[in-house]
Amino acid sequence: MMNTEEILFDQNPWWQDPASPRRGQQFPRRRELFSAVLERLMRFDDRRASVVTGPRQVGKTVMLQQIADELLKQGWPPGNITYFDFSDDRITAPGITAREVVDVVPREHKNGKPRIFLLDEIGSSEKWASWLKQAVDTMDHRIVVTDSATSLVRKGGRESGMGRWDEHVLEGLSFHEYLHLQSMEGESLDNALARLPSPLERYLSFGGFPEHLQSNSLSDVRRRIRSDVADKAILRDIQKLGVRQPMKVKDLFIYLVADSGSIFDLRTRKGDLDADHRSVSDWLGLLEDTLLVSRLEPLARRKTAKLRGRSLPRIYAADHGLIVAFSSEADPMADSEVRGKVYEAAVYRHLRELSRRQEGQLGYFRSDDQKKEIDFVLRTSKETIAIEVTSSASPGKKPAKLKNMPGHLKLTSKVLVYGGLKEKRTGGIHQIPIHRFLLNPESILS
Amino acid sequence: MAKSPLGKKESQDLEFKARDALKNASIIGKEVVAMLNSDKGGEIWIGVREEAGSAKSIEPIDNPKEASRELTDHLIDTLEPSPTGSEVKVEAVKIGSLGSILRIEVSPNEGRRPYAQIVKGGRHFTIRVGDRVRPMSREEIADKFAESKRGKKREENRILAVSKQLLEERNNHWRENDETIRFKIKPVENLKIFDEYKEVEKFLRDPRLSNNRPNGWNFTSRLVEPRHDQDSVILKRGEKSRVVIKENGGMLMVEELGRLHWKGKDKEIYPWVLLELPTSFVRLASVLYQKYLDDMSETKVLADFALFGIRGWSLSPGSPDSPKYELVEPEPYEENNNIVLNAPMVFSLEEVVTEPDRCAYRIVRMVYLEFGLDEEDIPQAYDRQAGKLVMPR
Repeated sequence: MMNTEEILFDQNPWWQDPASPRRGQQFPRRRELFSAVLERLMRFDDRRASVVTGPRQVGKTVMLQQIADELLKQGWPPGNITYFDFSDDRITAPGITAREVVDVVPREHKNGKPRIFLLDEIGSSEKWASWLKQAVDTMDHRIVVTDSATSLVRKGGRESGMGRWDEHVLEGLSFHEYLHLQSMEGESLDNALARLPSPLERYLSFGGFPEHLQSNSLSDVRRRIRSDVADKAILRDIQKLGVRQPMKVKDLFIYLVADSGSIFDLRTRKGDLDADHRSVSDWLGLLEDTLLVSRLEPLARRKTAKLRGRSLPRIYAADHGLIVAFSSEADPMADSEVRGKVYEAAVYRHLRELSRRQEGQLGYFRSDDQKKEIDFVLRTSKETIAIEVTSSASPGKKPAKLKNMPGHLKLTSKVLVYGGLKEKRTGGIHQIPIHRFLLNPESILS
Repeated sequence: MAKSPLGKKESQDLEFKARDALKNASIIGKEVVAMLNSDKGGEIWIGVREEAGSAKSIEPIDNPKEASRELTDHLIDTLEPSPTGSEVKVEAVKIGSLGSILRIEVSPNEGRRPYAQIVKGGRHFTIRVGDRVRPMSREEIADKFAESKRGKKREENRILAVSKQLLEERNNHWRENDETIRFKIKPVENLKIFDEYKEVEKFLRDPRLSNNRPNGWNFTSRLVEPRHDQDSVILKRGEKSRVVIKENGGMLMVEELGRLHWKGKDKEIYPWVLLELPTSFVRLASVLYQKYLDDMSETKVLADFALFGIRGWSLSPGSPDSPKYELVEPEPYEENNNIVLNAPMVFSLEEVVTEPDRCAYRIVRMVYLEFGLDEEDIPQAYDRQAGKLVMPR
């Protein structure tokens, strides 16, 4: 059995040989979040740590490895960089704590420079939040941690983290990242779009999981995503949180994904799962916390509306690839209903990020008499944008629907993201083909 | 329901045979050969009793589909040259409540005459004159061979002319477009593969419609709107990349050479691209030419494929998921700047429509051989026996 030190030496080959091959070198292309996390890490006047959360297989580990690689390239002393993966299968009960990792100081460590800790899957270590709080308060270390289950961040004390760490969400790849990661050195995105095999269709079908970027078989990808989500993220990770009926959580997830974008109906789900109200709500919370599904609240007309129990969230698959992976259709994207859900989930993924960047508020609208609906409404400090989505190549009745929205929403612009090819502004509506929106979501801002 | 032949009279191009003729199919074979050797062919109905040359009554045939299949097999086995589906077509026809009979449509191909019936090892040349059949004379047989030769010569000349045109186009293309893949398909005869642009545009958007993978390497794009010219639909996928489909059946695909790369080192051809991209285009031709299968199956279709600026690129043997592929470090191609065909490949329209993958295989094979690899180095995704490219879905 390996002890902490042995595992650490194995995971940090640069301690003994700075020239040894590093995993980060295998992935020269970086996610967009990389720069923000690296920049935060290098701000020595501000000791706050970074907590990167994201579902399984979105590239958190690779990002940490790339940070290690970048620091080594910049000449940071190798002994001052510690990477540790708490989900390493060689770790046996009762596990290894963050404190134990920090206590291992390699001989090559240089005094006078802070130590950098890149702690992967920290949720697998005991009492990590209190350690992190203390570490930020009392030590001179620079720290980045990742976790695939945000409930741990929450339970670990989001409040105590206030001012001590920044949270970054790493989602599946955006379409822009999807192309960037596959582009050749110096290649323009337009060229990559023309060169890569069916790029939009692949992105929509395979989803934003970097691991499957260069897979050649959709059925293989679908099988692997199902296995990652069902067997690992749900049955293994969620079980670790003490859930007694993980199979029911899995079933709930399958229902939600098959129905992605629908209003969550607790009563129906209770019946489907033969479970009580409280359990179903808890399970939904767990699926949200592990970032497998994403909740979209209705845009509250009054701030109190939600408190009065009128909140009817729509639940989306966090990544559109999950819809395809769990679809019962042999060729899911040939089915117009599945295709429509995939389009909506992909648009929602990009809007979430846009909303975060704009520090905006994102919701959907449904009139009290339920006759008028808008898929998404994005409120920023400057504007309120209504966004409808259709996978159809023609706008159909959507423009008329968008035109006829109540004045109290104070919409500043109306956008239709659709499956057609022409971008145009007509009758006060900005019609934008899905690939153009996905490549540049900011284009809907005025 | 087909129009009844009852009441019609036998003529140069119409013959009736009673149901019993099926018991001795060589009687029917003789009539078919005679019609093939006459000027314009005709129709033979089986299951029609005639009196004084007029169709009097219907003799329904039990299990007509099986009878039709057996008769087709017999004709293929006993006629020389063996008739194609466009020369002799046997079909079961339902005549109202009277039952089903067989109709043979005979459409001779001038370039393949004279036709003969093989009986006990001997060749019997017959010809139809009016409503009668008689043996052909030595002179008539010689004339038909000469006619055939002239017909063949005419076809050869047409092929040569189109071939020359394709080579000129290729050379002109090369002068202006280095580092491109160029694939042109052109039938020798002018077809009319679409009446409205929309009929073709949908194929340029959805690869499923031409039996291609939705996520594979193909000629389609969901990002660009096709435009049309006078007689063409054009999809411009990139600076140099475009697909042009002409109303007359001419098809052109141009791609940047970089499209051959997906994974691995710089300038490394990814085998799936090399296999799937040209195949996808021949599959499109297959779908677009489909409606001409009955009438023009023997029409020749020319295919010209070229890789410009390929010097320095490499190609590994085997499938990317095979150990062979991993183990072999391929040498860059240094023979020439371009890989081109000496002359365009010639297929029949029937081959393109019914076996598009087999046609594309010949092109892919040429590239592998040019890279100094063997046929067995072509990935097994090309099922040689079935003549199909089977890519993972």
